[in-house]
Amino acid sequence: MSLISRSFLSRIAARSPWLYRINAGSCNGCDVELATTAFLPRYDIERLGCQYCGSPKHADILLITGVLTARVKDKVLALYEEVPDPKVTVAIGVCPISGGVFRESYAVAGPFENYIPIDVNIPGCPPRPQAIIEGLQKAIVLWADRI
Amino acid sequence: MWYLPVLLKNLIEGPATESFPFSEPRTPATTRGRMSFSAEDCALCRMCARVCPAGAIQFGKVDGGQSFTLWHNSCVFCGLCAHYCDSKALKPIPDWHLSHTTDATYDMVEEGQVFAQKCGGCGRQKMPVSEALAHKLYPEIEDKAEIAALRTLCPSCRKSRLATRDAAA
Repeated sequence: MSLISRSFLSRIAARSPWLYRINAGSCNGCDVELATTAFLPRYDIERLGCQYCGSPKHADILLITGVLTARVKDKVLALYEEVPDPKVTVAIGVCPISGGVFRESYAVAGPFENYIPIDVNIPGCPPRPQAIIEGLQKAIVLWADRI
Repeated sequence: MWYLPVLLKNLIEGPATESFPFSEPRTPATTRGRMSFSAEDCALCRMCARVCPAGAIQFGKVDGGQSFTLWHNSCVFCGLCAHYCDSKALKPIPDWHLSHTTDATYDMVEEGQVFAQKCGGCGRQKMPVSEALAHKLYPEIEDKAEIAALRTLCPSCRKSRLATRDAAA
């Protein structure tokens, strides 16, 4: 391990952030757009070195969709704690940022910034796949700074 | 053998992947992106704030008029405001470059200030009337000079001007 310096690891890790997606009470519109960016050859997020992973413990960049409903609040916050530091949080769609059309509902615990720090916002309802790629690019720059 | 044309097409056309973000993105001209507001055209009817499902549009008071604020971080791109805007002051434009870091969250607004005008007839304060709104109000008038003259008047002066014209005709 000592043969490979920490700065070398940081440099190569910065080129390949892993994404983890949390649906915190989204209508699924943003999740469909995320699937589009990930799986359609037309948008292909893996060109940027990103890959979706199935466990929060492997994640570097956290993608959050949805309003943070009162029912999932505790589970989402527990998942957020499981993502190792340093991490970058990206809010996808207007819901995590402001609540969108669900704002001030009795079932909504958000906005997210009351509970966890958000680094990049990608507004839209849902945002275009290109807009998601553009926002992820900003997140990757932040991630490279932090690691 | 059915794959041969596909193979040939792929060889000629190259990959299907869009090269964005390494080059300019391809945006169709009809894309409904963010809303754009032109303060010159607004008649301050405030219908947009009333119909906005996300409550993204707010009006506030400024000296001699009102301020318009649209929060891009709340707007859901439904286009209801543009649909109900008779003055054509609000319209969706094909700009979707809205992603930002959190420090810019409260800068993501579309702003404008609309001021009351003086009526050309009686001198009282009146709301501005955009050209689109004037054409909607008076579809039978095609004379551009007449429309321009009507736009400078308050509703009651417009009424008396049109009544005088009708009486003369």
